[in-house]
Amino acid sequence: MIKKLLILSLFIQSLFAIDATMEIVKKATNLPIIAISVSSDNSDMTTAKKIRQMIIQDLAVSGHFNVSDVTVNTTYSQLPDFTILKEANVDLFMIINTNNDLGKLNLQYKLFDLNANNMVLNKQLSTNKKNRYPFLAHKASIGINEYFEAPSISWMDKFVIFSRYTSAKKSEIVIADYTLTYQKVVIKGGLNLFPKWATSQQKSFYYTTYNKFLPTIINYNIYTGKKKYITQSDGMIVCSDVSEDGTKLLLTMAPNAQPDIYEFDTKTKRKKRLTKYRGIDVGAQYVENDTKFVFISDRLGKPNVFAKQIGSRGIERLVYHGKNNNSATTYKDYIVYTSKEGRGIFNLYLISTQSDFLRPLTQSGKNQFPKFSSDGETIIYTKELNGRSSLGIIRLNYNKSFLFPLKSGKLQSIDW
Amino acid sequence: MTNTNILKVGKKLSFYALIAAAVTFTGCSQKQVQVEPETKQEVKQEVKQEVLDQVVTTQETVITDETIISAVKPIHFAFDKYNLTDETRMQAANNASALANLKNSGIKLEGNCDSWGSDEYNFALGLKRAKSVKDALVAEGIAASHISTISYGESNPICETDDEACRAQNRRVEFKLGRLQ
Repeated sequence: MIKKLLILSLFIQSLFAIDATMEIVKKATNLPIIAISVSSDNSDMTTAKKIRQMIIQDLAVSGHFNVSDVTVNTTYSQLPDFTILKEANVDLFMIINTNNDLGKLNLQYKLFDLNANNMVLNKQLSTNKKNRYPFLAHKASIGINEYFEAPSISWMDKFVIFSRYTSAKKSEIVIADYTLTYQKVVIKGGLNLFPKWATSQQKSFYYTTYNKFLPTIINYNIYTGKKKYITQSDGMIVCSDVSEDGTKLLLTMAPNAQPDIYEFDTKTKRKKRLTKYRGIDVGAQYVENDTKFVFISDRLGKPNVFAKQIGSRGIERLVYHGKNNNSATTYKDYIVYTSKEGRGIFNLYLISTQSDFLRPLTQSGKNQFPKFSSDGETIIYTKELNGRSSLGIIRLNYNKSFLFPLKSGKLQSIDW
Repeated sequence: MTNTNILKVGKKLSFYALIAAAVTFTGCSQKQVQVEPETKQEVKQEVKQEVLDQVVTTQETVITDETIISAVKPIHFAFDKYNLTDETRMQAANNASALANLKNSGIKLEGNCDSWGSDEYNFALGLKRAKSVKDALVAEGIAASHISTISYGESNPICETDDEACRAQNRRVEFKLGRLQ
């Protein structure tokens, strides 16, 4: 019963935010209420409590559940007392148990449907590295979400990669979970910027290093630690996007100090210049099955968002709102871009290229580097407010946004 | 050569000159020669002149490429702009006059930006600023092949307070020694 209600309400919510925002907010009252407890016989209570908090956060971010703060004191093997939970109008109860076994961290969880008086899930997850416990929590949250056939939140299990400035001309590249709880520095020493995943499997990434004679693009494998030289340029070089099959890169390069968009074939090692403009062309993103790209250019006096078919000459302006729009991300017919407004304020906007739909996504601070998730339902971005740098998540269909502050340094760029 | 050493050399020379003079005159047999005060004075003058010549030569080798580049001030830009104004164009011309004296180095122009805007755009903006300055130097006679350009976007701030005075300082092109190509 709970499953059917959830599927129905989420089907209605999955309209892509256009005119359905108010409907989505109203429908939030129909979401199932879930309570989560840690078993009283946990051998690692500290980690178990952290995992519980992480799952609560995941389910709140998903927008598919309301989380109750009711807890029940029970061992993992015992059947919980449903009476207290039902009195609190809880629909679902999750109990979690953790233990450390031969160096592995194990997470066991059970999910009970209180309306059906049934246990509906009984799973175990493991990791060899205890500090990766956030990913166990994310996997558990995804499992619950999938059981109810809610819109996918599988992006929660993916690495986020970012570079952060640590001081002048110094930065490091970090992989993390989306809440920034787990972090691992993978590149440090000197100036290393603009990391970009090479494939959706996230085994390697491209980045720009200034530690060589010229700015250089390197490919780094996070599992083997192997670095591979890709290409270099005078002045600057950035890998802005990778084609769907992973063989081509959209680069901003600047031979003769002239920044333009190039396409680089990783197999033939050949470069093809795609824009020829005497000003600034940067930030290209593939669209329409990699036959076209969206990019930022100051060709009309101020930075704005344009598109060009690869192999043709015409340039199409995409955004007619705002005076200074200097970064953008695309998903099908939608664009999210950053627009400068007033002193030091940069806000994100969502528009459709097929209508005059326009929706502001942020209201304050410096919001930059928006990136769509692979399913187009979530935006990740960087935010700087009151001197603090944070990673932002916007759930487009649920009108919700979340911030995860960086403890030190300043976010330079981000990808997922 | 330091001033102390110059004085020591000077004193030694004076001393040896006097010794040499004494030996010369006492070597004459049977005849006692009186050294005239004017002659002694002339020797002293010669020694002094030698010492002064060494001091002048030493000062001439102090001006190095490092000295020249450190005296050249950065050029600043308005927000979101990479063109030179009349004032900054004149500053570039003055810088070119000084940079024409570089002997063993090229010029590396480093473009920088404030932290407003996306960093990829700022890296490109910094590079365009460096290019504008390069073009101005070339127009003043500096060989284009002696000038390289690079951008550091917003990665190289010289201040970090959130006010326009600091942002204005960060929007700059700096002059560094580069390779001579």
